[in-house]
Amino acid sequence: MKQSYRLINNAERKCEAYYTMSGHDHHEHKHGFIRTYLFSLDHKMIGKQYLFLGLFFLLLAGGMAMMIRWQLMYPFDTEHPFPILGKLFFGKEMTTMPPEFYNMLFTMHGSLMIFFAVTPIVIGAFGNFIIPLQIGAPDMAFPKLNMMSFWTIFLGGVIMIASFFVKAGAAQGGWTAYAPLNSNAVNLPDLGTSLWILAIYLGGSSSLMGSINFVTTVLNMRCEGMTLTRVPLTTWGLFFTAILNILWIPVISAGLFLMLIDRTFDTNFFLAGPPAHYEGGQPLLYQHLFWGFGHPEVYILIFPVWGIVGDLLSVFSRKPAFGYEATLISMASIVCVSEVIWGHHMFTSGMSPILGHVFVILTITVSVPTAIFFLNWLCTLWGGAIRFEPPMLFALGIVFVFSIGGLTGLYLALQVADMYLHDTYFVVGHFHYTLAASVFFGAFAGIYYWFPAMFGRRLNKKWGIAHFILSFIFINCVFFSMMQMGIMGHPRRYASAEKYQFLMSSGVMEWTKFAGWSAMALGMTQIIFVVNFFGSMFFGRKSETNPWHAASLEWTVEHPIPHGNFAQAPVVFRGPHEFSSPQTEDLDRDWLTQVEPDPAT
Amino acid sequence: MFPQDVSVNGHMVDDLFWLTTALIGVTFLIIVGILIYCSFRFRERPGHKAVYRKGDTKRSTILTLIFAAVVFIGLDLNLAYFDHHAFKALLGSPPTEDEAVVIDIHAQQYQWNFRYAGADGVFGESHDDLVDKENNFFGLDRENDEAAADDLESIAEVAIPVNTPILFKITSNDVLHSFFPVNFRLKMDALPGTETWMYIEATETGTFEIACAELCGLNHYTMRAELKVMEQEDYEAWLDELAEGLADEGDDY
Repeated sequence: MKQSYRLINNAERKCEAYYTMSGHDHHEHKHGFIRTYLFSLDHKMIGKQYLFLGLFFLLLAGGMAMMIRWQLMYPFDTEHPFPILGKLFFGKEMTTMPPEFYNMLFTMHGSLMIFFAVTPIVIGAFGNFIIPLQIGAPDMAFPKLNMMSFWTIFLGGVIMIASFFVKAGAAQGGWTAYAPLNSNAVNLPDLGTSLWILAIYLGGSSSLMGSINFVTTVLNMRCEGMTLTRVPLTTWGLFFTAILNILWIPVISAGLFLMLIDRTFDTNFFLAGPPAHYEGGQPLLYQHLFWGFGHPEVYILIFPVWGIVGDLLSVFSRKPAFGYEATLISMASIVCVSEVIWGHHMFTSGMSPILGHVFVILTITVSVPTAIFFLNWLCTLWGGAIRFEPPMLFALGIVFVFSIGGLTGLYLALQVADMYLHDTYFVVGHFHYTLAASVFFGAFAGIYYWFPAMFGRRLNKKWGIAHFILSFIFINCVFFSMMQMGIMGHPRRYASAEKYQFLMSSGVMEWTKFAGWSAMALGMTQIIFVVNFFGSMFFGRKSETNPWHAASLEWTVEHPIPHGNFAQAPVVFRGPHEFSSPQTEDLDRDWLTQVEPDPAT
Repeated sequence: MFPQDVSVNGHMVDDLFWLTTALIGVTFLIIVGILIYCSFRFRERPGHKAVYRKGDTKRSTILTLIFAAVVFIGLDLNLAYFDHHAFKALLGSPPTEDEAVVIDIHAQQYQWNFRYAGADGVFGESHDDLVDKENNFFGLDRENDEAAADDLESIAEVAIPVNTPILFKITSNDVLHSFFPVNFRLKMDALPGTETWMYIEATETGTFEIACAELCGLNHYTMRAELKVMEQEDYEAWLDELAEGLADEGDDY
């Protein structure tokens, strides 16, 4: 305890010392290429490293999604191999996908998307880049830990990719990696699953390091005047994410560790019944450990997005965020509730009915704080002067897709409805609305919004709008069709539905084809983004300091933001959303940044 | 939409689904309605200025709390009540083993094994260490256990009498599976080492399908079984056929 106090005091002292140091703004020029771009201690560079890592895995895992949809459109159809890559993967003679390859695809799609695409972009990139800037700190509390957290997840990513090349390929047991399919080495004997466990383990360690950094930084390194209720919502979202990470990553780590020794040393934690070596194991234990982390993980990924939406709706409506404190209280209450509702993933596991009822009530309670978010978002828009810039379009898109994702969660929270819908495509559609549509729209909103602060240039607006409109249409086509397929009873993780009469006669294939082609179109749409992103990075229009007329601190420093961020320690006078305030009546603009003193009256 | 429902209680799942759809449909339309209205009415244009409102007044707080209460009571408790109501019928009142036809299920990788108690009406004891995924799906000791001697087994095909409560006892020989008789709107996991159960009652005869709903390995998607709902006499004839098959097998020893 004592030592941790000392650590935190150190962080504070470092913060003060930084600004009293002279000449620190020329600091960065002293470093060579390696210290500037690879082993950088600068939170902004680490944030960008996370961004590129995440985008790389987003493209990879997105490509896998397209292969999955292709297989389902043309199951084992030799006439329609996957374009271009089909021959490369399955040989010239055997042009169809073997079922184990299909299982590997959806397993790795899920794992890479969650742990190596969403986490690095939404938490790693935004968290590292934005938190110190928004709270007026020179850097993260522990820059070396920060660097280590990036290189740890990088190593995890390398192992993930390496696992494709071992015998029998990468993990095939689902991203949830249920025991005993994954824990009993008899079922999946090859190295892929063990490497998968190791990589997720490293990803988790990286998140832990990052989260400790986030929490310490937010609590200890806020500049003068930056009270907790003046911190922008994005930073709040990331802060709550970090708290959940710190609490629950150890739980999944424990589960994965037991699984790894079950696999390698023939222990018996998750084995019972005929395959067990000894008595006393229990496969359900894994599910409790997994969902004990797995459900908070949903909020871990969505909190930063909620924060981004709150901030962006305010900036682009030119209005203060409505009910800022109510939003914070709602977020905090979700942090508490998220930890006691994991059982709704296990309604069909034969759990006690009374326990089931408890989980039903607790789960649907989440809709109250969530409804307050929607109330606040819509009230922020109401009476505003809305600017439809690309980041705002994505933020509005999130309000739409997250309303579908959140509301369809109600079906699955109800034990009886879940008995039918569980493990069907309905669940897949639902969680893609929340985790794919909402979170990636959040990622895009953030990238379009902070791109000028990151690279000093603007992303092309027209291409941004095109990217949004096409993504919005196709993403809804894909995931709405999936929910429809789920209602028809299509179980998830099927390499083909052709064996089932009730599916083939119900027209599920038409929906599969529709979802499949929409997914192809959605994938192609992202080319617009990739071209826009890299094109604008080098050739985009140079951005002014505060292109969006925002009020928070990251828009008060000139590009390129130097190592140490602020030339002098900023002093904050007001909250982050002072738009259209009466104080600006005599000014030629409608916003007051957090650092300027009140205009003379 | 939903596949055909052939069970006594399955309609309650559909009813709950549509009730939920109605409630969240209205909520969704309100959200999208306001979203679209705001996008047109409050877009930035010359001469239009945003109002300065933070929503931190006492009035806003009270209205937010009222809104939260409306959501909790109108949406949440309402749904929880109907869920509980449906739960009591579908999952909460299982028939006793005397009232129902009991069928034992041992799932294993890519096949469903079913077992009936046979003429004596008593299941032979299942021994985990005797389970053999090729010859002895239920781990029975047919030679020494009298109750086990006449147990009837069927692979990937199960017959049940119509209008009779059926109690499935479900477990697994290897990994997790999930027993999903689609037309009965229920699903129950098969766990090695644990026995779960499900009860159904069919209202129509015909052949229906059972799917596996929990990833169980590379041929997960092929793990299909047929559920034949028959009139009582057909069902008995079907069981007799199984018994004859068992007797023939016995002659081979």
